[in-house]
Amino acid sequence: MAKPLITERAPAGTPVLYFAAASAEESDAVGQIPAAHRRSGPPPVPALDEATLRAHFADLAALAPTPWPGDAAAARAATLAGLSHLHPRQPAPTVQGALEVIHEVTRALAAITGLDRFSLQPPTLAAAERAALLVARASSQRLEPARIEVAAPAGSSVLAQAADLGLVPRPFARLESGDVDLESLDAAAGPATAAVAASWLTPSGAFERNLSGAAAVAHACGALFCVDATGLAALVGRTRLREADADIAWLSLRELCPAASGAALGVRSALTEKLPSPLVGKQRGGYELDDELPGTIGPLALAPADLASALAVYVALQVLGEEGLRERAERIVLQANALAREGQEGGRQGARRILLTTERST
Amino acid sequence: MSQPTDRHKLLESPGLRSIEDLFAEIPAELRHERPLRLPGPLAESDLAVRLLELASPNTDLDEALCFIGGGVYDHYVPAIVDAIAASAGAGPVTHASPQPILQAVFELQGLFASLAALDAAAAPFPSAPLALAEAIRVAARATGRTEAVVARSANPRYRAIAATLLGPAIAFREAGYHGGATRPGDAERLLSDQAACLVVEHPNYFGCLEDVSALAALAHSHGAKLIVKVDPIALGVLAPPGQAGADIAVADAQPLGSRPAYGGSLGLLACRADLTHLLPGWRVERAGDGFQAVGAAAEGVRADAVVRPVAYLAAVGPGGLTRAASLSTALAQATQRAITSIEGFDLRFRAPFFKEFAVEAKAGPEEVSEALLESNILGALALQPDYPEMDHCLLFAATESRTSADIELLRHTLELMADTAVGGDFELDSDDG
Repeated sequence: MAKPLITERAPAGTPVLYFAAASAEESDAVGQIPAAHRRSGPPPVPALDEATLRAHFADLAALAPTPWPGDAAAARAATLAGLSHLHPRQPAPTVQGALEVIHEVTRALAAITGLDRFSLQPPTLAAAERAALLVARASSQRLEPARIEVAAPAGSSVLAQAADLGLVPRPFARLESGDVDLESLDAAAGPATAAVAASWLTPSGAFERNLSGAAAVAHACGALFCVDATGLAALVGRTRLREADADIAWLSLRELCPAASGAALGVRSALTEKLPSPLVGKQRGGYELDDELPGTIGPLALAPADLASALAVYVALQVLGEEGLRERAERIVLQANALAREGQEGGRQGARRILLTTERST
Repeated sequence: MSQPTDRHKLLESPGLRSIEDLFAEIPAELRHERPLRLPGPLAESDLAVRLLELASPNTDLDEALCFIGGGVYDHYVPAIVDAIAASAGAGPVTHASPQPILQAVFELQGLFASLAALDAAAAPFPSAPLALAEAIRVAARATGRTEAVVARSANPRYRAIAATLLGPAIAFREAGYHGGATRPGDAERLLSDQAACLVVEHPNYFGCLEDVSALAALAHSHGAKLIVKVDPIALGVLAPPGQAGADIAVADAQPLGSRPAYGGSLGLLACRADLTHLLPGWRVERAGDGFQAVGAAAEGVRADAVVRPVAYLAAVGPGGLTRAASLSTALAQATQRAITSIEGFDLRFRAPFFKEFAVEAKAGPEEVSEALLESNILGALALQPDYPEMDHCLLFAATESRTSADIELLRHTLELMADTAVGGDFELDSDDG
């Protein structure tokens, strides 16, 4: 039996006064707002006393959060006003510590992936994927002949995003193994290709074995190689995007910390000025917001990062360290394969290859 | 980290001899197993010190007085909201979230639709500008058109983010303002047969009120939808956008129970019944005795962020929401009177405003901002970077969290600055754009 909706509950206790009592000055102020702009009745929201409110949300406390190394330390850090109660429009000199957190997370991402610069602005993985295509589009806009095509595996969300951005989607096939069919990619790519997109993982969650081949096809035709880096959590310390010759990549920040939301967009240095503005930079005088990127695709968020997410990632990285990240990767792979084996034992078709994750990629 | 039992179970699999076999699928040319030179691991005691070091140089809103707005506001958050949000945790909200979380999403949808006097709402988006971009996309789908006429008086950051996210799929046309509010004539000139929507903010970026009813009629007469970005606190006093004729309303839930948090935004979107079938993203519906998520995969929204606005609205109730709104407008008016009583500071626009207003100052924006910071006041957003015609113009905001003493300190600081200023040759004027 579901609990009542919050709008169906009735107050049962004494209400708390949250705001100061009304004054004559306040009535005068509201009177300055023309009557046509004012609402005619009270706003339609419930009014519950705190005991009823607590009772309504009591079941939330029973939900077990996903534990992760450092979650308690991160929760404590989030209570520090200096790392939480900050306005996104404050001058940079007044948020140096916040900018350092963001800068350190982007530097760690660069070290882990081998790419040169990261933006933490994309609010979702889908937004990061779209931003990657915008970067590719922006960097090929002035080329002759015009590059307006995007090659990606059939069924990939990249193709729909490309079409929505006015680019021509060119799907290519996968082999039965799930790896990229290089012959099919070769046929799909050409002098009009702006970007070739692939993923670190096959649709079943195994490592994409033809990544180098796909990068070679992309670069042979002068296109940028874009990689969906889902699976990073399982690959830390084993391979990097640089070794795969990726020019652009995107990933969810959850790859590094389950409590983080948002995504990251990374590029090789030549594409830095195309990233969403502003970027957090470090100069001799401290950390700065660099919003003078001449080729930027534009902003994606109201701040250079969601500080709460960046802080959670920062704490996770500090608590785990490099060895901890490697061990976590092993654990993820172990669990993915244990799950796959259970599927086989249950009579379902399981994967024959080693899986890096149980998350699916297209 | 790795437990021996896990290793043991896996290594029972045929063909696997060591943990290294797990990564054997990575081709040799792609391997990189050299040190990454990452910092850490740090002992928790050292990390605690490090975090304090990172927090200490920041001027936070507990130690400084905030008169900055620009779409993010320092409203009071009842302690009960923090307590309930903590119990929800920061876990991601997905289609598979437990029923209490899905119910909170359902309740938030209903509360925002109801507050905006519209018929249905999508599940919250991970950012309010993203919700605005999705609203424009809904209008484009509904009309089969590809242009968005956007008021220049709407938050320039929202406009820029929506333009980035939508890319070339939507052409943006900017309608000018006069006296602080959208000039209907400008909007009408741009409302071609390709215009999917007219987008306004109410109260707008300058804090001024827009004539939403007139703009709705204008948009509809050209076959376009009216999208209104609202301040949810303002809906405690202002007529809801749905009642004024808006087709879609979007808002940032931040003022409803969340302090400004350097990022951290939750986008709300509600629409009329005839657009419900085009609702973007995902939403929660009733399913028998419970709730189920439908639509695209949910991403980027944390459970505590969803619970905060629901708990806030139910805690403060209709009376509290009205009080927060009316106190904010009273304190903003008091702040405006205090500032413009000083020589060299003039109110930029005469249109009625809600809790934010633009001031034209003889002193430069940086000079004002620095003088305020010396008194531990965060204030005065410069308008010129987004509005080249607004040199020496500053934006101030006040909420119910400010006091008469705060306003007096602000006035005193600006007065001292004005008295000691060398004095430039800048002349106050009132050009619109």
